[in-house]
Order: sequence, then structure tokens, then C-alpha cells
Amino acid sequence: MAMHARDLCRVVPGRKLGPFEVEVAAGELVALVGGNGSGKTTCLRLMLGLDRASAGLAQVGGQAVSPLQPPRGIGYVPDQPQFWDWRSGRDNLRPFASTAGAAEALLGQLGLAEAGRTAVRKYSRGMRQRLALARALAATPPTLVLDEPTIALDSGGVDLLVEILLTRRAEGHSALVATHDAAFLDRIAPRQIEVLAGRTTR
Amino acid sequence: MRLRQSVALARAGLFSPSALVVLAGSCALALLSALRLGIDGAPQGVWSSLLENAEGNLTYGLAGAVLLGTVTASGIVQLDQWLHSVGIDPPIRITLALLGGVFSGLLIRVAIVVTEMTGGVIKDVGAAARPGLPMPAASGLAQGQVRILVVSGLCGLLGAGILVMVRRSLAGLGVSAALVVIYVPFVGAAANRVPGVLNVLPYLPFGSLRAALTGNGGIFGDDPIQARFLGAFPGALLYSLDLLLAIGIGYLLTIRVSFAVSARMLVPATALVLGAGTAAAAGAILPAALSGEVPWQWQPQWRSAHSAGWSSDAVAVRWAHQVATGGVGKDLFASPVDALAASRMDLAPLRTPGSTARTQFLDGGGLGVRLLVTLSPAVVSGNVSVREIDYQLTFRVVHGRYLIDGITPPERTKATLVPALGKAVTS
Repeated sequence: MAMHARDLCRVVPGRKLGPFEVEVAAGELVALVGGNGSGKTTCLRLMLGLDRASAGLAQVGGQAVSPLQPPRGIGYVPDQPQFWDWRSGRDNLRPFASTAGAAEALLGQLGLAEAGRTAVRKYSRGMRQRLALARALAATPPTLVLDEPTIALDSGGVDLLVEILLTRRAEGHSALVATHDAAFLDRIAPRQIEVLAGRTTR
Repeated sequence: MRLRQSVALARAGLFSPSALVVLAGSCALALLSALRLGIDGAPQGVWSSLLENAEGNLTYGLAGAVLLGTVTASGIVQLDQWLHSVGIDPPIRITLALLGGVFSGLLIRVAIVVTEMTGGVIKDVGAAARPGLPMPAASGLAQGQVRILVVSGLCGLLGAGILVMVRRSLAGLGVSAALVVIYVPFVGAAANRVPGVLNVLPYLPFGSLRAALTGNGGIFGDDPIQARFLGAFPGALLYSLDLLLAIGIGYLLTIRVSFAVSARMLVPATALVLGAGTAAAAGAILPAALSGEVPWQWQPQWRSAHSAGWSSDAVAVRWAHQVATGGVGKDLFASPVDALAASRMDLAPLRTPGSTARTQFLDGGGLGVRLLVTLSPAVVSGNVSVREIDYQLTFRVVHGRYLIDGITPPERTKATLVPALGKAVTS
């Protein structure tokens, strides 16, 4: 099992989020779908140990995950990716890629070959999203976790993302995607898990 | 986490625009200082430049190291969540931030030393036409420089520790700046007016580090501002505790312990704790520290005496009353000698029908009371008609009581010359 969440809950004052039940098998593409504020991002963050769960279990690659135990083998694209804005896209990518050549290749693949030398503060939202995807892919992780990955991408960017996800699935890699973009879902045809009012429903 | 990645992470944070501003600012100050110090027109020499700037380095150089440490660590802490998602453990993330701070502290020190030596060379070039030789390297100079280098690294560590605890770049920079700016001599001079505040400074993180370095309690170096003595060992101990506390809090925040409660609760809770702490500290320090600065009516000593009936005002009234009724009020004097001197004065006006008004005044450091006796009817003595006389009483505090220690001879403040022809002239 690539990722697994069982009875995962998070209690905040006045509100209980969960239980979240999610399973992502090796080579599987799974989507968390639901409207704004339904709890998709919370579910992803709990599964990655970015927030502390009040109850339940989160596992990545068979290993328990929590704020104390980071997940291994994950490439994550958060909904609002953070970068060293004063440095170039290439410099942001370089520490996480195996070689300089690999970083350049990724930038080229994501359409940032020329922009790679520009400071990230000058990037548009779409370019930041592409760079976030490149960074997530830099360590060639077996599983991708993407939070609203299409939200700032142009059509070319979405095409690229679809191609990457489908290629990776064919190679046996998994992905968990949180989105409410129906057109995107139609193209990648994942197994869907609905998140409604702070809990997974199916 | 490979070494290459660690170095890349630290380097990425170090060369942020904010870091460069701090670095450039510190070097500019060092250069200005190097060019200003020494004897105008005389050769300076790189060693002399280092020696003469050592004092300024204790404040401005180390302050720069703290700020740079904070900025550097922020480059790593701001990516904390993403670093978590790629499998980097919390202790490694914190260690990276702290190492970035140490590295930046060492780097800024090296940059400052090079700048100061350059300043020395520039002064030498300007003084080339004049006789004399640059000062040779002083014995112990290298040892002193190594000490400052180590402390600069520790300052960078402190700055990084603050950021690890605060976790927000701007807020961290603000906390670091607030912690170091109070040690800049001209700010210290202001703090010197409130001894209680000055005495707290050695116990704060930057102050304890300075105390550990200088070991003489002189957290302002050779400036004539004396804070409470704190030896090198307690200073080092305090610094270590401060750092451990900052790192401990930072670790708890990194592993989201507080998030189990809720980030929304954390902010007001932190504000509440900080507010209560500040209020408690202010309550413990400020009343005593400010007691000498507030008007005399608010000073605890006078208020206590006033409520016991022994304030300067009450004692003056009682003395006037006792004299008017034929006594001398011996118990109201600080010493028998003072009472004797008062009894030899012309006290007749106080025994004459009329009214008495009083006002308080500050007499040097003490408090005085002016008794104004209005005689009704006016007393005519020779060809002078006297209507007002005043006595000025000064006091000394004895066992919480304001007792009279002096009375100036009575002065006629409103007298009328009565000439033989009956035409009055007011003086």
C-alpha cells in the first residue's frame, strides 16, 4: 500500500474533522474530490503528518507518519507552495535533485528552461505551480501528493500534468490528488473518494 | 539528508536580500568606525584598526551576527513544511537552521575583520606622507579576535534560535532586533536613567552572552554605564538556558504539538502569556525603579508617611499649631539641635491672631514646606506695618517620618512703610 489512512481525525475547537479513510495502492491514481472547505487539504496534511491527528492512523509505504515521523518517498505539491523567492527556479530545485543535469531536465520538462535563471519572485502563479511540480518530482518519489494542482495552470500546464500523472501510473507510481476540477478528473480517470463536510464518504 | 543538500539549504537562506542588507550594513559600520578611530593623519595599520574597533564590535558587530543568524535561519524554517514532506526529520531541520545561524555569525565576523583591516590600510594610505610607523600587532590580539569570532558564531546561533522559536521571518527579526538594540550604548544611556531596567539587561540572552564574553558585567563594554555584575560562568549558563528554551519551544512547534490544541488558540494564548509576563515584570521592576522619578506626592515614602500622619505637610501644620499654642514641637524635629535653633527664632507671628497657608516645594533633593502667616490685624512695629510673614521648613526622613531639620528665619513678604505723614508705601 502506497498510502493508507484509517479513522484519521483532527479536532479543533468547535469542530471535528474526519474520520478520513483513504487507501492508495501502488500504481494507483486516487482523487479526493469535494467542494471548497470540505476537508480535502486537511485530509492530505494529516496523511503527510503536516498536522497532528487527534486520532487514527496514517501510513506511507507501510510506515506510520506524524509530525515527528515525516513520510518517505513522497513528492508533495501544496496548495500554496513556498520557495526561496529571491533565488532562481534552478537554485530552488537544485538542492533536491540528484544532479544539476537532472534539475535542468526537469525545468525543461515543465516548460521552465528559460525561466529557470529568473528569480522566483518574478514568476506568475502558474509558473510557481510548475516549479512546485518540478520540485516534487526532483527526487523521483514513488508517490505524488498534489493539492489542487490545476488551480493556476494554463491549458498547456494541465496537459503536461495529465501526461506526467498518466506516464507515472503506467510506470507503477502512485498519486493522491485533491481537486474539484471535473475536467481534469475526467482526463486522469482516478479512483475517486468524496470528501464532504469534513469526512470521507466513499 | 546529504551534506550537499544541507549546504545548499543553508546557502540559499544566507544569501537572501535581507541577509545581504544586514551583512552590508554591518560592514559599512565597521568601515566607518575604522576610518574614524585612531589619530587623524597618523598611520593606523591593520592591527591597530582591529584593536581600536574591538569595543564597537562587541555591540554593533555582534548585533549584526544575531540579526544575520535570524535571517539565515528563516530561509530554512520558511520551507519547514515542505522539508517535512520530503522526509527530513524535525531535529535535522532545526539543526540545519541553527547551523545556518552559526555559519552566518562566523561569516559576518570574518567580513567585519576584513573590512576593518581594509579601513586601517586606507588610513595608512592617507597618512603615507606623514612620519611614523603603523602600530605592530599587539600581543593577545589574535586570542581576542578568536574569542570574538567564537562569540559571533554563538550570536548567530542565538539569532537562529530565536527564529526557530518564533518561526516567522519578520517577527523573528523584530524579536532579535529588540533583544540587541537595548545594548547599543546610546539606548543603554537611556536605560541608565531607570536602574531597574538596566539591571535586567545582563540576564537577557544577548546580555548574558556579552557577560560570558567580557566576564566583568560590563555589557556596554567600557562605556560608563554600569549594569548589575554578572560573571562569565553565570552568563554562559544563562545563555545556554535561553538557547535551550528557544530550541525546545521551536521543536515543539516544529512537531506541531501546539497544533493539537489549535493554531487559533496558540496566538491569543501566547499573547496572554506574554502580556501577563510583561505586566508581572513591569510590576516587579518599574515601581521601585521609577520611585525616584515620579513627583514626590506619588513616591511610596511620602505616601506611607502621609497615611501615618508624618508627611512634611502634616508635620508643618502640627509644628505651627504647637507653636501657636505656646509649645515648641520638639518631637517634630530631626535632632535636638534643630529644635534648639528653631526655638531661638522669632516665632511671635505664629502666636499672633491670623491665618496660616502652606505650600510645598522641592529644596534640592528634599522636600520643603513654606508657611505663610497672614496677620490680622497687621502688626505695626515702629513705622512698619507687617501683614504677611513666611517660614520655610526643610525636612529629613527619619524612620519613615518627615522631621524638620531646618527653618529659615522669618521673612516679611508683605510689609507697609507707615511714614510720619501717614502715606503708605508697599514693599
